[in-house]
Amino acid sequence: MYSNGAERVGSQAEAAMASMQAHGVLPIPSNFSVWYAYHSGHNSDLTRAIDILVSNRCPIDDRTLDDLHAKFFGPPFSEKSLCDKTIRARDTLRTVLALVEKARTDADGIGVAINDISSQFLANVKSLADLIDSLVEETSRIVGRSERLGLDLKQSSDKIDALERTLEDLRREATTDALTGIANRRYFDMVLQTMSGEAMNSGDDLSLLLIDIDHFKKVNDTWGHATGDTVIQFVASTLAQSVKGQDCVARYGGEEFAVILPATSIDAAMRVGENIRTALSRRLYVPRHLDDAVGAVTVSIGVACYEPGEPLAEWIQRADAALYEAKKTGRDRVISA
Amino acid sequence: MRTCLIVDDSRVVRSVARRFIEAMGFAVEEADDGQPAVSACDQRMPDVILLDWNMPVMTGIEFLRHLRAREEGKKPFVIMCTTEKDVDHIHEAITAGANEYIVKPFDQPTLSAKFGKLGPG
Repeated sequence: MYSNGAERVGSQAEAAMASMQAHGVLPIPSNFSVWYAYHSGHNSDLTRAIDILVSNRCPIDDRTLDDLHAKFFGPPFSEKSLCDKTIRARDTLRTVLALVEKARTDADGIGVAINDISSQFLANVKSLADLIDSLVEETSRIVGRSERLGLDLKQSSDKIDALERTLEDLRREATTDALTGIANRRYFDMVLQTMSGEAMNSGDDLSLLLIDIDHFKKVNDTWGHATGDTVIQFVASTLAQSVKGQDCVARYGGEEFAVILPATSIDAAMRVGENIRTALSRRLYVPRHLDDAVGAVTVSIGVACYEPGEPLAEWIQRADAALYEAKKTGRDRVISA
Repeated sequence: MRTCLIVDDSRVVRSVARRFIEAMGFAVEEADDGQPAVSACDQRMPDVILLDWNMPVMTGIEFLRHLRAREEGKKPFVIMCTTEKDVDHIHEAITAGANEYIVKPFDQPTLSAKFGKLGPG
């Protein structure tokens, strides 16, 4: 534990809570330990690792905090190894004792003085052996308790499995959009960074589509939010069906989607965009309820190819500018940056 | 003029990095693996090394350990530059002696910020 003044501890604890909140992580003790250690500055390697992650815009999410905790708060030794070491020490001492006893009985013929010295030595060694014996007994008890605890835990394995499934669900929730089931914005950001890093290494093309539903406000206003939601779901599933392999489809905003296309040139990306546009404009319609003229719900699409070395925000901005151009020039079309 | 050695097996990375680093006023050398990087340092130890991790013959981390094992001579500022962004890799790089760490992809502002940790030339 750290020996700080109460005030300093308090402000470090507050800072830790603030960090957990800022990064949107579960306020569990292990997460708190990591952030507390960071703000107290006592573990320079931990501080450096977190600073590196932050400076590279890597999220400090629950998984990363788990890794940090395992790396910097792992157990320093195991009880089992302590027990093994004391057993070895005892055995060595027993061997020494036997040798000295043997030497003493062999030397019986030599003299009383020598006898005295060696019996003093023997007494010391024997008391040390007794000490080691009790140490071994104590550590065996500790190991025994741990083993019994292990058995109890095994018997609760059903509960643990259920908890692990809940944790897995929570993690998946953190990366998928609730309404459509496709990737959410947070996951999109992660995939964008990963794929552009790989594209920078390989030199392969990497393209981005930004897709926005045309006149969506009018859809919501005319047919209600429930219908609006089904339109969003339909667009999402059509997008998912229009891509393949490593391509990533994400819900980027309210009525905006993004598609990341690795190993895809700008021309090929334009073709994918055109396929999406026609698939949607052909099939997407809203049933006639009122006298309002009903048309197909269409999308506008902006396309941009990653240029290695450009800031990711700039790449997205170029795709966004192309999308804006598509809107401005009449909607229901695909424009490249 | 300060010198920078770019160690990366990717031609694209080397060319982008060269552009950015020359713009910062450094003289740039390139190596496409850990082994030629060792030779380059033997010839003339650079002030800064931009170091990739995964390379076919000698990895960046192996090169770094080799570099830091040298007792004498200039101690270059090493910036690890890799797609690896997990805690294990970051910690391994720090303990092997990296001064800074960039997660790819990088851009001019990020690179400048990390080079800024060098101090004035």
